[in-house]
Amino acid sequence: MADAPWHSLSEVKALGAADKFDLGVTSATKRILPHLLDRTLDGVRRFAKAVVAQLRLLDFAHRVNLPRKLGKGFVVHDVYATRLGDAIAKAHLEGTYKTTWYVKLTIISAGGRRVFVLSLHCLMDPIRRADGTTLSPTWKESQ
Amino acid sequence: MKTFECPACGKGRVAPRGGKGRSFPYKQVPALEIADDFEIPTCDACGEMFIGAILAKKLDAHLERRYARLLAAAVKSAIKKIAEHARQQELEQLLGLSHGYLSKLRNGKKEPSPALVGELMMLAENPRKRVVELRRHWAAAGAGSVAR
Repeated sequence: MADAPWHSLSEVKALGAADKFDLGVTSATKRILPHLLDRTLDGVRRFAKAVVAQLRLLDFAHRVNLPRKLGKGFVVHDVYATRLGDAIAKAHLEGTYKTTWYVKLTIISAGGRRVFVLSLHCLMDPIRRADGTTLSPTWKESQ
Repeated sequence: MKTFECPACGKGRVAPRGGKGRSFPYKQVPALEIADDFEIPTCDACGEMFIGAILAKKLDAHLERRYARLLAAAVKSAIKKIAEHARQQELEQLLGLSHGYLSKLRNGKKEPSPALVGELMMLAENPRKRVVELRRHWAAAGAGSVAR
């Protein structure tokens, strides 16, 4: 298993800060909305930006290689398991105990711009991170 | 916007598409329908939709308009049902509304708050019983405050 992200975390953070990212609807938007204080798409994006801004290399778990059907090679996703700080949880979430999150992202070139596409939802199962630590969920999506 | 390879499945192409039966959770509505002709970049293989910054603002505005229409329709329907069991003036009194406010809502001259729409929908579910209950609750609350 790869022990480092495929995509540069600093580039991911720069794209996030510049608002240059797309969110997947089924694997991010719809799953985040019920837990937010601001239940709008703008609220989802502001939360996603805050989560990405606080990602650390220590949060990296593994890569997912998705075989391309239309082209050669793989679409490579980096998976992170992260624990949010109190400030982000208080600012964005209904329930400050909702601190453990799963993040999956990839950087793609689309229409001449670089964007990353993000899955973002509650951490469902314990995830072993590349540094050997395991992050366990502190809450469930149904809560 | 140009199409691009779907990063979620790697099998399809993502392009702006409309569609039937699409919805989003919005504010307190678990599934608010999106207009069929509202285009969202969607994969033709896995169906995943992708929302960027500009589209998020447009979709929020679209959902807000539909949300306002939903509230207006719900308030009209609730007032109509309750009116069979309580006079409008009494209902306004029970809900602490100013005289004539419900008429303004019914005629679309005022926009209702989601809280008021919620109260009216609860009352409209069984107006005969719930209007009586509401009268009783206010009476009991008044008596309780005097006793304390």
